[in-house]
Amino acid sequence: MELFWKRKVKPHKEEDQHVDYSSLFASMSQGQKLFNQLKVQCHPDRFVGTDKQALAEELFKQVQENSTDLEKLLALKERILTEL
Amino acid sequence: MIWDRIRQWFKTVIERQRTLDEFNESAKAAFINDGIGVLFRADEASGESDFRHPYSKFLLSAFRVKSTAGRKLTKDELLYIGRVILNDTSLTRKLYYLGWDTLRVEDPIGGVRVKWAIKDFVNFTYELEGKK
Repeated sequence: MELFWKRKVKPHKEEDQHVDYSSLFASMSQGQKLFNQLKVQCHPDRFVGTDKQALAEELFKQVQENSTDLEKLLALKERILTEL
Repeated sequence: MIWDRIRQWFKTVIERQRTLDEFNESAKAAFINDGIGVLFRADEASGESDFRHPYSKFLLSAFRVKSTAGRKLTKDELLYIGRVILNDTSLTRKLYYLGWDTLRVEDPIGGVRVKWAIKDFVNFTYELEGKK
């Protein structure tokens, strides 16, 4: 029988349970404002009947899906500014 | 074995405290260095009995995030903050296995509070149940 105090404990792996708190708090503080801005900028109703309607729909969908991820919203902002 | 259960209990207690400390330290750093307008603080509170899951602790099963200093927050902002936390898969799963079943986001200054069942946001539940 193995005695519990002689049992080897696996070392704690920090990388397995890593939570990126800095991006979490950045999203909390700036994400909502950016999300509200982007969903207006790329709303498909603004591009009805134009050749950019399909692109606007795709970008709007991606903005909705990544509404709480600041990094992805910033990347989408670049796309909206350059492509729309 | 009883010793395994005792060891596991201590390990969970330490890890819960470590998670709270990490959250609070990061919130403090974000408030001081990054210019975030609100200082958040996480602690434990009593959870909702309807939100219980197999890993739930008997007492203090809610992970509560409170705004302790700064401006008054609206309900929309609190809902957004909760969604940010719950959309972080690694943090949500960590909260789940450490025994928290309720996420509460509160603003004592404005008197607004919102809560979620953490089990609804841990995606593997659906996989285990065979739902798609």
